[in-house]
Amino acid sequence: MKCAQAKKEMSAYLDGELGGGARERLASHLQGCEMCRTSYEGLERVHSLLAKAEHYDAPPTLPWRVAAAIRSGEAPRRPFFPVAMKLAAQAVALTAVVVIGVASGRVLTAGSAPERAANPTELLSLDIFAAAPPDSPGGVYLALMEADHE
Amino acid sequence: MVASADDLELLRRFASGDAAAFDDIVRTYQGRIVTLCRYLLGNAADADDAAQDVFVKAFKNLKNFRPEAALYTWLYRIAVNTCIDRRRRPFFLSFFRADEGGEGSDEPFPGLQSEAPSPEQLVESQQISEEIQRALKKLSPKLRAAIVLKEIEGLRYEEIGEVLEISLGTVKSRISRAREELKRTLTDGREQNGPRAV
Repeated sequence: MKCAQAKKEMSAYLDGELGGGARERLASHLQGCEMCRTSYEGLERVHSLLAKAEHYDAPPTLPWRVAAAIRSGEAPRRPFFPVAMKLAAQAVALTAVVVIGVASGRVLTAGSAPERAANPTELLSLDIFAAAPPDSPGGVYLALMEADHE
Repeated sequence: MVASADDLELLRRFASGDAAAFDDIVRTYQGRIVTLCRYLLGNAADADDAAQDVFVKAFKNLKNFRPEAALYTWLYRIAVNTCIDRRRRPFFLSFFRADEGGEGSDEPFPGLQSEAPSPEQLVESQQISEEIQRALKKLSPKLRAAIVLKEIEGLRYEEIGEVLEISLGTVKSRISRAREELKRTLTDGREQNGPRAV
């Protein structure tokens, strides 16, 4: 047996899937060819490593999920809900930070803070965004927008 | 390869309208299907979703199953096709995964078998499994399916041929090529990271 042929057959030999005659010829070749023997030992190492791979348990909820999907015709996707909940919580937190930041800024910078603080509705008003000076980029943008609408 | 007596009994119960029969099929094969999907897809969340899809498809098509084949080879075939389809899905859908690349949140002790391994064995096994998954990702889907069915699921060449619907010669060739590629990947990785007991 030549080395090229031996190399083709090694994997099946390792798996015990090589027929009688071919198996004996390859065994004989491996005894006499150091290069092929080294190559074969490499395959054995891969085989040994893969034999240590974990076998995973199914999640306990799988039968329930399968049954629910069959009943509804649509699969309930476990991972989607935590992601959606996480995004919703982040949106609420971000909104709260913006509102508190705007309110705090107005209280701290207002000339007559006590008067403004007495009116919580005004503190939370979005009018603050309309106070763009005419020369500022925001003012120019608003002027352009208004011109477009007229 | 034909359906086993236990499979035939499950199929008979299913055909007679026994509502619990399919639940028993799921519970019998869910571990093997989840493991196969995990190594074909590379992460727990996708594997669990794929396993769910496999059993839903099996339920819809069980009436077409012929007992000339073993039930598990039929389920494996559905699983391989399902995983290949999932890998073709658009990239952006991968963002809708809660634990991409991590351990399954429903598995506090992944891989825990009846003979409980020590914590050190668990850690080593997890490290090796992650290393294997990284190496498998570099293989083409065809080679990956063949080597996982052989090395992880322990199927014989004839069974792999049935699952993948390919000849024995092709099975032999794919497993050989997959091993050669894994030898390069795993050996190179180990030489760079330092030797470890194999």
